[in-house]
Order: sequence, then C-alpha cells, then structure tokens
Amino acid sequence: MQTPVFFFNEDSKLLDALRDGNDSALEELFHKNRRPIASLVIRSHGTEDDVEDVLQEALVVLWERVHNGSFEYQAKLSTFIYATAKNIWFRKLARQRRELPASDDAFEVADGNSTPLEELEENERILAVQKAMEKIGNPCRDLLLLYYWEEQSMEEIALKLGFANADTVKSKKYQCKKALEKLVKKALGGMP
Amino acid sequence: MSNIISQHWTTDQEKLEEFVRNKTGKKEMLLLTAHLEKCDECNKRVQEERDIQAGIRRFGRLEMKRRLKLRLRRDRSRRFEWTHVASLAAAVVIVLGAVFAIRWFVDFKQEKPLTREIILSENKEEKPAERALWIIGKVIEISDESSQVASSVEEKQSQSFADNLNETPEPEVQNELKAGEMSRSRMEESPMKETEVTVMAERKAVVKDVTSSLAKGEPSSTVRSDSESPQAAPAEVKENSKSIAQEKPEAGYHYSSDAVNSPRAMKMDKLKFGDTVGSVVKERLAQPVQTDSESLDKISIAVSDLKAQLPSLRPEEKKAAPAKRGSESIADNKFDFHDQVDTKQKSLSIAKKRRPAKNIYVRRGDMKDLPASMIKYAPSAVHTRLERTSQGILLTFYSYSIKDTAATYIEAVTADSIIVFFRNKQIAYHIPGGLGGGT
Repeated sequence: MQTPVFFFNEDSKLLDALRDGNDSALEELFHKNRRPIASLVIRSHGTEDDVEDVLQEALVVLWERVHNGSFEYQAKLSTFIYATAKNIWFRKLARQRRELPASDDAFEVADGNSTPLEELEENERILAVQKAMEKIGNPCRDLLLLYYWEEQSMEEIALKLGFANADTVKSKKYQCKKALEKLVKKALGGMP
Repeated sequence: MSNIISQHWTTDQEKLEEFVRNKTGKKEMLLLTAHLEKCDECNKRVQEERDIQAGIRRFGRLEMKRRLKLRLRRDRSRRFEWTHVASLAAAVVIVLGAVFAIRWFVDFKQEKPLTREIILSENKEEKPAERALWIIGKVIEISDESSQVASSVEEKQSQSFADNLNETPEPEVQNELKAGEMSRSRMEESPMKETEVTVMAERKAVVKDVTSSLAKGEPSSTVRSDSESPQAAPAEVKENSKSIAQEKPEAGYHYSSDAVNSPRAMKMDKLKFGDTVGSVVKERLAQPVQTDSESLDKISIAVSDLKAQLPSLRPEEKKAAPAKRGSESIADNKFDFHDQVDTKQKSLSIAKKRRPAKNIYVRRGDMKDLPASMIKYAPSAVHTRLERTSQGILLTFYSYSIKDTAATYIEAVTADSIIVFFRNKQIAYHIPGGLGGGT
C-alpha cells in the first residue's frame, strides 16, 4: 500500500489528480513544462515532434511512477520532468548516432548480460505482446494493464472494473493471461 | 517432462509473477535465483514472464501517450476555434467601426443640422404650425363705384404728383413734393432705387388705365396678372413689367417690401389698409358718390379715421383726427395724408433696420389640399398657408370666391400686415411675426 503524501502546493494537487487517473493533470504539466524541454531539444538539433515526443514520454514515466508508488517527491515536479526528459532525449540521440532501431520503450534497458541477438529476440517478443494486447478485448486489456502496469491490487481492480471480489479478478486475470500468451505464440509463429 | 517442470517453482504462476515484479522476499529470491542458474526451463519461463509484463507495460505506456496526444490535439483544436472566433469577432468589429466612421464622416461633410432637424422633427411629431402656419385673410370686396372713386382719387393724386415733378409746385402739394424729393434722395442712396421707380411708374400707369377704362365701361388692361401678356400695356409699363417679371417667382406675384417704402406707394396703401382698416375703407366707400370732390372728401374722412385707428403710426394725431372729419379741405387732408405717409415710412424703415427685408410670394392653392375642418368657415375667410422660407414669405391661399391664380400686386400696410390685390378683390392679412425675419 503506497503511502499518501500531502503537499500543500500546486504540485500536490497535480499529483493527487494523477493518482486519481485524471488526464487533465498530464495536459497541464505538458503545457507548463513545454518551453524548457523545447529549448533543450531544439538546442540539440531536435524538432518540434521530438519535443512533444520526449515530453510525453517523460510525463508517462511520471504517471507510471506515481501509480506504482515508486515516485518520491524530492524535488519539484518540473525538475523531475525536465531530468527525465533530458535522459530520454539523450538516449534517443545516442541511439540515433549508433544507428540502432529506435525502441518505443526507453526504459526497458537490457541487463547487459544478453547478446545483441538475444536483445533483438526479446524486443520481438515484447512487440508481439504489445500487438496481442491490441488484439485482446476488454475487460482483459484493462485488467492486465491495471495489474501489470499500474500494479493495482485485486481489490482495487474489482472495484474499478466492477467485479464481485478479488477472487473473481484473480481467476479472470488468469484466463486473460492465457489468452494473451496464445495470441503471442500465434504471432511469433510457434516460437515459445 | 511434466514431472521435471512440476518440480520447478516457475510452475507456480503467482510465485513467478512476484519474482518478475521483484515482490518476493530476499531469502526466497536467493533460492529461486540459485534454481534458475541450474534450470534452463525455469529461466526460459521467467524470461517469457518478463517479456509479457514488459509488453503489457509498453502497451500501457503507448496507450497513455496516445491518450495524451489525443487530448492535446483536442485542446489545440479547441484553442484554434476560440482564436478563430475571436479573430472573426475582431474582424466584424473592425468592419462595423469602419462603416460607422464612414457614415460619420459623410454626415459630417453634409449640412449636419439640416439633416438632423428633419430626422428629429419626424420623430418628435413636430406641430405642423411650426412649419406652415395657417392664417385667415379677410376678403374686401370693392364695388365698382368705390373703385371708381378710388381710381379717380388716385388719378388726381397721381396727376398732381406727375405735374409737380415737371412744373412749379403748388402750395398744397409742396409736402408731397418734399416727400417725393426725400424719397428720390433716398432712392439715390438706397440700392432699391430702381425698384421704387418701377413701382411708382407702374402704379401711375395703372391708375390712368383704370380711370380711362372705367369711363369707357371696359375692364382695365394694365392691371397686371400672371396670365395676361404685358404687350398691351404702354411702353413704360412694359419695361416696368419686365423688371418686375425678373423678380417674379414661378406662379405667384413677387413683392419686395422695400419697394413699397416710396411715398407714392404709401398713398395707395392708405386706401387698402389691413383687416380692420380695410373694413373702414369699405364702409366709407360703399356709400353713393356723386362728384369727385365729394368722393375725395369721403376719402379724406376715411383717411382721418384710419389715422385714429392706427395709433402706432402717430399717437398724437388720434385726438385731432375726429375734429377734421367732414369740415377740412382736401389740401389739409392731403397734408395729413402725406404727413402720415412720412410717419409710416419711418416705421417701416425702422422695421427694415431691425429685420432684413423679405420677399412675399402669393399663389393659389388647390382646394383639395385644404383640410376639411377649415372649409366650414365663413366664405369671406380665406384660409392661407404661411410658410417662411429662406427666400421670403410664401402665402398659399385657398378660396372659391377668388378665381385668380395669383395676386396682381401686394402692399405692405404695417410691419406685420399686408393687402393682396386681385382683379376685383383684396385680401387683408395679418402676418404673425411680421414681414421680416423668417427662417
């Protein structure tokens, strides 16, 4: 259970809104932080699209961390967003210099023990899961997202998605995961 | 195979998920990791679970990015619409402002007060009397006998006046000559000189003509009206007619109040004073007349009465006037007459100084245009519409009894009363506000 943090400033309101799943908080953060990120990206020969992309990714990271409870309020939100965006942008730049295929997931970092071939295979498998998630319908999609991405408890998911109780969610999650694995296997052509 | 797998912890789905999500305890984590180093199958299962969870998270992030992009795009379109509406409103305001500015500029260039006056007067339902005033003129009918008497008097007066101009003046007409000289000297000084001479000469001709025609029993040919040709008149009259015709308006008779200030014109005015005065003249002249001397006597009496009824001209003569009735000579009457003319001339000249002289136009109006409520009045009353224009005073009369379309001539009696002459009738008017001034 994540510890609620009370802030008596503007950031606290935004964090509360993010916690409640209010997307308008992300929108507000986007407009507030656009100028410094733009000056950073454009200074490094980036484009307007790069600015938007980097900022959106930084905001998603914030959102993810706020939801899974890994966000620690040590600095202002704008500082966190700027630092995250800077990391994302520099990683993108490094990838462009190495002429590697751009990965959509900037934070799925390889552990360093795998070979490039293994990395490529891993990337393929992740992409297959992603496509399978697009194919799988609701409520499986929402259930899997709430459980694996937002890392919410069975009770919370039951409450959000209108299931009877946590056990029902548990059994439903099992079914959904099996269906997803089937789709992934099908997409990979029999590959495990 | 299944036994081997079942021996491995990765077959426990919950345990596998917790391990991948780093939710297992430290001790358990060490045991599980040690098993993974020996078991490729378990390692593979863990890797699969990691890929699935990574794939779900990536999908979640992409979904989140997509949602955010969509939201930002909506926001942009909303902002664009707002700015679009704002710019449209600004454009409308600018266009309206330009239109109003142009209209204001155009109005400013035009004669502003006139335009506004018209608009305001329409809105506030201005009284019609403020534009055109209705006045009632009194018809004075001159019988043939009295006309004859008047004509004979006129003839005598004009003859003596003409003689005095050429010959040595007689004592009884010295005053008249004095008045004449005064008028001539004024004529030389005044810019109205030509008009005065014209009027005097014309009246002389008219008096002669009336006298001769009455003697023959024929209608006068030199009594001027708009419908008659001036060719039948003598050469002198023709010239006068031409000079007057130049001043004449469209249909009515044109009259300049300055022209009547000459002493000769004043003589004729004496016989045709306004409302009450005219009625006195009528009464006096209605009595049968046998001889010229008698008629002249009657006229002198009438004139004395007129003096009494015109206190504004010379108040001190009011007392003397009744004593003269019927006993004094014609010469005396003449003297009084001219004395009064001088007085009247003074009053008119004072009036002239006070207000600028105005022209008077008289024309006949169509009876259809007369309001029905006015037709009920007595037939002797001539309903007349008085309009003051920048050119002068315009009188439009409505009458069944007067057949003429325009007046033959107009005489000023006082500063605010006139008599309009037709062929056989006259109308006396009191002009509210006087002859001068106007718009």
